[in-house]
Amino acid sequence: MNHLHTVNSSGQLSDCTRFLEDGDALLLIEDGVYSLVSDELNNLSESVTVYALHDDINARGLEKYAQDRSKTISYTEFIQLCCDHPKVINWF
Amino acid sequence: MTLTEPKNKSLTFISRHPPYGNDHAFACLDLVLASSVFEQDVNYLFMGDGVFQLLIDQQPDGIGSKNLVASLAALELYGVSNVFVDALSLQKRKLSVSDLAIQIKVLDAVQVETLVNEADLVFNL
Repeated sequence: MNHLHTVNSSGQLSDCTRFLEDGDALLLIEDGVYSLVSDELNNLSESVTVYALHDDINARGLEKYAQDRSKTISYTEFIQLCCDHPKVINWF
Repeated sequence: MTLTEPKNKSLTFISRHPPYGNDHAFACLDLVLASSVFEQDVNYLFMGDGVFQLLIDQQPDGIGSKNLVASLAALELYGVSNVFVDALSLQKRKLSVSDLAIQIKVLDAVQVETLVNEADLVFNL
Protein backbone atom coordinates (compact mmCIF):
# COMPACT_ATOMS: atom_id res chain seq x y z
CA MET A 1 0.00 0.00 0.00
CA ASN A 2 1.22 3.51 -0.76
CA HIS A 3 2.47 6.15 1.63
CA LEU A 4 1.40 9.66 2.41
CA HIS A 5 4.36 12.01 2.85
CA THR A 6 3.74 15.34 4.56
CA VAL A 7 6.26 18.17 4.24
CA ASN A 8 5.85 21.06 6.67
CA SER A 9 8.81 23.32 6.06
CA SER A 10 10.52 25.11 3.25
CA GLY A 11 13.62 23.31 1.98
CA GLN A 12 12.57 19.85 3.22
CA LEU A 13 11.15 18.64 -0.08
CA SER A 14 14.43 17.46 -1.58
CA ASP A 15 15.05 15.05 1.32
CA CYS A 16 11.54 13.68 0.99
CA THR A 17 11.54 13.20 -2.79
CA ARG A 18 14.33 10.61 -2.55
CA PHE A 19 11.87 8.30 -0.83
CA LEU A 20 8.80 8.86 -3.00
CA GLU A 21 7.61 5.73 -4.77
CA ASP A 22 5.13 5.33 -7.59
CA GLY A 23 1.62 5.78 -6.29
CA ASP A 24 2.67 7.69 -3.15
CA ALA A 25 0.95 10.91 -2.15
CA LEU A 26 2.82 14.06 -1.20
CA LEU A 27 1.04 16.67 0.91
CA LEU A 28 2.46 20.16 1.46
CA ILE A 29 1.40 21.78 4.74
CA GLU A 30 2.49 24.83 6.81
CA ASP A 31 5.74 26.28 5.37
CA GLY A 32 5.95 23.24 3.08
CA VAL A 33 3.54 25.05 0.73
CA TYR A 34 6.40 27.38 -0.29
CA SER A 35 7.55 24.53 -2.53
CA LEU A 36 4.76 25.68 -4.86
CA VAL A 37 6.93 28.69 -5.71
CA SER A 38 9.83 26.49 -6.84
CA ASP A 39 9.80 24.26 -9.90
CA GLU A 40 10.94 21.28 -7.86
CA LEU A 41 7.48 19.73 -8.05
CA ASN A 42 7.75 19.44 -11.81
CA ASN A 43 10.63 17.01 -11.42
CA LEU A 44 8.47 14.51 -9.54
CA SER A 45 7.19 11.35 -11.19
CA GLU A 46 3.67 11.73 -12.63
CA SER A 47 2.62 8.75 -10.56
CA VAL A 48 3.07 10.75 -7.35
CA THR A 49 -0.05 12.71 -6.44
CA VAL A 50 0.70 16.13 -4.98
CA TYR A 51 -1.64 17.92 -2.57
CA ALA A 52 -1.34 21.26 -0.79
CA LEU A 53 -3.43 22.54 2.11
CA HIS A 54 -5.72 25.42 1.18
CA ASP A 55 -5.58 27.38 4.44
CA ASP A 56 -1.78 27.34 4.49
CA ILE A 57 -1.60 28.48 0.84
CA ASN A 58 -4.09 31.26 1.50
CA ALA A 59 -2.33 32.42 4.68
CA ARG A 60 0.94 32.91 2.82
CA GLY A 61 -0.42 34.66 -0.26
CA LEU A 62 0.41 31.75 -2.55
CA GLU A 63 -2.89 31.21 -4.41
CA LYS A 64 -1.41 32.37 -7.68
CA TYR A 65 1.46 29.92 -7.32
CA ALA A 66 -0.83 26.90 -6.92
CA GLN A 67 0.27 24.85 -9.88
CA ASP A 68 -1.48 22.36 -12.14
CA ARG A 69 0.85 19.81 -10.60
CA SER A 70 -0.80 20.06 -7.17
CA LYS A 71 -4.34 19.69 -5.94
CA THR A 72 -5.50 22.15 -3.27
CA ILE A 73 -7.33 20.43 -0.43
CA SER A 74 -9.18 21.29 2.80
CA TYR A 75 -8.48 20.07 6.35
CA THR A 76 -11.30 17.53 5.94
CA GLU A 77 -9.64 16.10 2.85
CA PHE A 78 -6.32 16.10 4.75
CA ILE A 79 -7.88 13.83 7.38
CA GLN A 80 -9.37 11.62 4.67
CA LEU A 81 -5.91 11.24 3.08
CA CYS A 82 -4.47 10.15 6.44
CA CYS A 83 -7.24 7.58 6.78
CA ASP A 84 -6.75 6.31 3.22
CA HIS A 85 -3.02 5.66 3.66
CA PRO A 86 -1.82 3.00 6.10
CA LYS A 87 1.42 4.89 6.69
CA VAL A 88 2.03 8.63 7.01
CA ILE A 89 5.61 9.87 6.92
CA ASN A 90 6.24 13.38 8.23
CA TRP A 91 9.20 15.38 6.91
CA PHE A 92 9.74 18.03 9.59
CA MET B 1 30.68 62.29 37.28
CA THR B 2 29.84 63.32 33.79
CA LEU B 3 27.60 61.27 31.63
CA THR B 4 28.72 61.00 28.06
CA GLU B 5 26.11 60.66 25.41
CA PRO B 6 26.28 57.05 24.17
CA LYS B 7 27.16 56.77 20.53
CA ASN B 8 24.44 55.43 18.28
CA LYS B 9 25.22 52.02 16.96
CA SER B 10 24.29 50.83 13.51
CA LEU B 11 22.34 47.61 13.74
CA THR B 12 21.59 45.30 10.84
CA PHE B 13 18.79 42.80 11.30
CA ILE B 14 18.64 39.93 8.82
CA SER B 15 15.24 38.25 8.66
CA ARG B 16 15.62 34.86 6.97
CA HIS B 17 12.53 32.84 7.88
CA PRO B 18 9.05 32.67 6.34
CA PRO B 19 6.31 34.35 8.39
CA TYR B 20 4.03 31.80 10.08
CA GLY B 21 5.75 28.43 10.64
CA ASN B 22 7.62 29.76 13.67
CA ASP B 23 7.92 33.11 15.44
CA HIS B 24 11.30 34.20 14.02
CA ALA B 25 9.78 36.72 11.62
CA PHE B 26 7.65 38.46 14.25
CA ALA B 27 10.50 38.37 16.78
CA CYS B 28 12.81 40.05 14.29
CA LEU B 29 10.26 42.76 13.58
CA ASP B 30 9.81 43.35 17.33
CA LEU B 31 13.58 43.74 17.72
CA VAL B 32 13.72 46.19 14.82
CA LEU B 33 10.91 48.32 16.28
CA ALA B 34 12.37 48.21 19.81
CA SER B 35 15.80 49.25 18.51
CA SER B 36 14.31 52.16 16.62
CA VAL B 37 12.62 53.38 19.80
CA PHE B 38 16.09 53.61 21.36
CA GLU B 39 17.13 55.73 18.40
CA GLN B 40 19.68 53.34 16.99
CA ASP B 41 20.52 53.30 13.29
CA VAL B 42 18.54 50.34 12.10
CA ASN B 43 18.85 48.40 8.85
CA TYR B 44 16.28 45.70 8.20
CA LEU B 45 17.16 43.16 5.52
CA PHE B 46 14.94 40.40 4.16
CA MET B 47 16.94 37.51 2.80
CA GLY B 48 16.52 33.80 1.99
CA ASP B 49 13.05 32.48 2.84
CA GLY B 50 12.52 35.75 4.74
CA VAL B 51 11.46 37.34 1.44
CA PHE B 52 8.25 35.28 1.67
CA GLN B 53 7.22 37.60 4.53
CA LEU B 54 6.74 40.33 1.95
CA LEU B 55 4.33 38.56 -0.40
CA ILE B 56 1.13 40.33 -1.33
CA ASP B 57 -2.32 38.84 -0.50
CA GLN B 58 -1.43 36.99 2.69
CA GLN B 59 -4.57 35.93 4.57
CA PRO B 60 -3.44 34.13 7.72
CA ASP B 61 -6.81 34.32 9.60
CA GLY B 62 -7.50 30.76 8.48
CA ILE B 63 -4.50 29.44 10.41
CA GLY B 64 -5.10 31.69 13.43
CA SER B 65 -2.18 34.04 12.87
CA LYS B 66 -2.06 37.79 12.57
CA ASN B 67 -0.97 39.27 9.27
CA LEU B 68 2.73 40.10 9.27
CA VAL B 69 2.36 42.60 6.42
CA ALA B 70 -0.07 44.61 8.57
CA SER B 71 2.58 44.69 11.29
CA LEU B 72 5.24 45.81 8.81
CA ALA B 73 3.18 48.98 8.35
CA ALA B 74 4.42 49.98 11.82
CA LEU B 75 7.93 50.44 10.42
CA GLU B 76 7.02 53.78 8.92
CA LEU B 77 5.42 54.98 12.17
CA TYR B 78 8.61 54.06 14.01
CA GLY B 79 10.70 55.90 11.47
CA VAL B 80 12.45 52.81 10.16
CA SER B 81 13.16 53.63 6.54
CA ASN B 82 16.18 51.45 5.82
CA VAL B 83 14.22 48.38 4.79
CA PHE B 84 15.86 46.19 2.19
CA VAL B 85 15.38 42.98 0.28
CA ASP B 86 18.14 40.85 -1.20
CA ALA B 87 17.86 40.67 -5.00
CA LEU B 88 19.47 37.23 -5.18
CA SER B 89 16.93 35.76 -2.76
CA LEU B 90 14.06 37.12 -4.86
CA GLN B 91 15.63 35.90 -8.06
CA LYS B 92 16.22 32.41 -6.69
CA ARG B 93 12.51 32.17 -5.85
CA LYS B 94 11.44 33.68 -9.18
CA LEU B 95 9.86 36.64 -7.36
CA SER B 96 9.95 40.30 -8.34
CA VAL B 97 9.08 43.56 -6.56
CA SER B 98 5.60 43.42 -8.12
CA ASP B 99 4.93 40.31 -5.97
CA LEU B 100 5.68 42.27 -2.79
CA ALA B 101 3.18 44.01 -0.51
CA ILE B 102 5.42 46.87 0.64
CA GLN B 103 7.68 49.45 -0.95
CA ILE B 104 11.18 48.22 -0.38
CA LYS B 105 14.68 48.89 -1.63
CA VAL B 106 16.24 46.01 -3.56
CA LEU B 107 19.94 45.49 -2.85
CA ASP B 108 22.43 43.65 -5.03
CA ALA B 109 24.99 41.22 -3.61
CA VAL B 110 27.66 43.87 -3.05
CA GLN B 111 25.25 46.21 -1.25
CA VAL B 112 24.05 43.39 0.99
CA GLU B 113 27.63 42.53 1.86
CA THR B 114 28.32 46.18 2.75
CA LEU B 115 25.21 46.35 4.94
CA VAL B 116 26.39 43.38 6.97
CA ASN B 117 30.09 44.18 7.08
CA GLU B 118 29.73 47.84 8.02
CA ALA B 119 27.18 47.41 10.80
CA ASP B 120 28.34 47.61 14.43
CA LEU B 121 26.04 44.71 15.28
CA VAL B 122 24.34 42.10 13.13
CA PHE B 123 21.32 40.11 14.28
CA ASN B 124 20.43 37.05 12.28
CA LEU B 125 16.89 35.86 12.73
